[in-house]
Amino acid sequence: MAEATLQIAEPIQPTEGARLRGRVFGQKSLTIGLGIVALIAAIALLAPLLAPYDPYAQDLTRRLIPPFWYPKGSWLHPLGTDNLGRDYLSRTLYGARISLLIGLSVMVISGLIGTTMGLVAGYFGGRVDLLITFLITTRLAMPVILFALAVVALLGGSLLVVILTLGLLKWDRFAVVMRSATQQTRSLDYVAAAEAAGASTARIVLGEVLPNIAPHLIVVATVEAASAILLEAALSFLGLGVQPPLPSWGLMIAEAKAYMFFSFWLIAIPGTALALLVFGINLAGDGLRDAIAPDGRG
Amino acid sequence: MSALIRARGLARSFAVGQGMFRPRRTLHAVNGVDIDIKKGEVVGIVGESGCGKSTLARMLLGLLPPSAGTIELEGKDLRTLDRQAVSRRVQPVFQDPYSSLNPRRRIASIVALPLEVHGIGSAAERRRSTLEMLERVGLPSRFADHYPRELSGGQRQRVAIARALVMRPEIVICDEPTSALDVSVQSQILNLLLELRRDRGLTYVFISHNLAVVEHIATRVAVMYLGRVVEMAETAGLFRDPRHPYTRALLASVLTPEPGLGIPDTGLGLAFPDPLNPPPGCPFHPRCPDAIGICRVQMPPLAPTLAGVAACHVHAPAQGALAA
Repeated sequence: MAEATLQIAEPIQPTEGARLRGRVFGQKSLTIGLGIVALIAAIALLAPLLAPYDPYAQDLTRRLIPPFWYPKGSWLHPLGTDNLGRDYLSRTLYGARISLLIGLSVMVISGLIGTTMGLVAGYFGGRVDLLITFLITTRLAMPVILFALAVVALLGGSLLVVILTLGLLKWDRFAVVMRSATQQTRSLDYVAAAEAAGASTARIVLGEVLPNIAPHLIVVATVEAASAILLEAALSFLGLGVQPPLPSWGLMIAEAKAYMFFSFWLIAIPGTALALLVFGINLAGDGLRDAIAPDGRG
Repeated sequence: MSALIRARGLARSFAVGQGMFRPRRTLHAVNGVDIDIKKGEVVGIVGESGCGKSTLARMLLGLLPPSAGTIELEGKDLRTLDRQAVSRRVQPVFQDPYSSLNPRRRIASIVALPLEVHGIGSAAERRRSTLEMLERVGLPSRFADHYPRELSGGQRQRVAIARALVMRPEIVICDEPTSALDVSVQSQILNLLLELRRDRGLTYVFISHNLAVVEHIATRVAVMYLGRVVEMAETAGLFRDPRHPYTRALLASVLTPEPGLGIPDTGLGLAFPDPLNPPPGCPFHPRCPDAIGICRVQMPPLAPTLAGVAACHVHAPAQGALAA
């Protein structure tokens, strides 16, 4: 055995890219999570090609057909039809678009607001920090669902209103995490060295601080995207989110609630899709955090 | 020869316990420091942790505005100069080479940052002078595209020195540049600093708590205690004949290589005074073995000694102070 070990050549140094690939795919949760999200994203993009029917086309003669695994089911409508005779598979596929659109745009809007606030508060400190901390505390004192309900009730529900309301509400976690991460990074000597080199504040914040807190940003962003998707579903379920006939998963669950004792699949299918997407995003976020962590001190 | 840096009555205080509903207290980190740094000198600044060494360094770098007093760079008030103008002449080398290099940048990009900020040369010229600078501090150019995490502590400190010198500044403020390094690497870095000083006619402000290092590198030493300079003298004179009891205690505290001797007794005790609530009179009197009555009431001024100045009623009495 000893001889055999001796014959092993010295290890080949992995390249930077190989090391990153190893970290990303070495994490099962990250691989699975990214896989689920990529699959749903592909479905959302290719929905017009994949969907067998127009998701808005009603056919009152073919209402409430069960999915194929029921005895009464048929392969004409693999996931059955809803109470207006719309093909449920097509609606579920198109629903991925709404969920991802909301998740992404809310994440971007709230991420921009929250990250800017956190960077400013953490970098400048002092009175600026006091003011922003006060804003964050105020925001944390507002219940998101109630506030969103009130806004949507006032302005009327539409995709745009839901996106803007959630985007303008959900920046709190970004701001809190970015603020403390910036505070930590700001006190490091490389920031002082850049200052002593005469670099402008914008250059220091964007070139020295932001790249070093980006890992935290990615993790918060995934969590927030998942939570925005769930919130949209909740708002739509309450009738104050996306308006019919748009195929939103939350709205589909809401429309199905009158039939849930006789046509359980109407709730189970969009519910499963929703749970799968959120699960995938959370898994990917967890994995990303672990993949980034071994970096350690630098 | 006129002073390159001239500080008068330099002070910096911090508000401690900042919060909306908490009482504010003031900490005087640096409290009335006068210092002249001449061209070509190496001024060592020594003292315990918390005595204001690093705060002084940050003020000299222009990173921290003084709360009182002035700093002049060749006769021009530092406050009237902008950050870029100061950065061309004064550059830092920090203590911890692990936190002083941005972990997300490659070595070449770290060293080139000052050139980039000042818009000096084209990208190719910057790259060339960066590689030359790395070569000069003893790093082969194959390190240029590595990340800091792939380098050892000593190599990282060489990178930090290269970054400080790439703009050809006149003054380098070294804040404990060797204390985070292994002893064997410390001397390499010190010798590199001395070589660079000779080649480029640099002026150093060298902050350290390691007296052996300061004796090796400094031409003049300032001893700080609780935000004040208590003794300042030529290096040889200070080490031969320390006047202030605090300087004596510091010199006595240097560990000898003799294992049997153990940790030397400084006679100071562990009672470092609370800087939020400094004692009246001479700030050193609660720990001073030679304190007399006047020390508890009156702050001693800096009075001339054989090799420099010291602030002590007993060992460096000002003219006529004892008679009064």
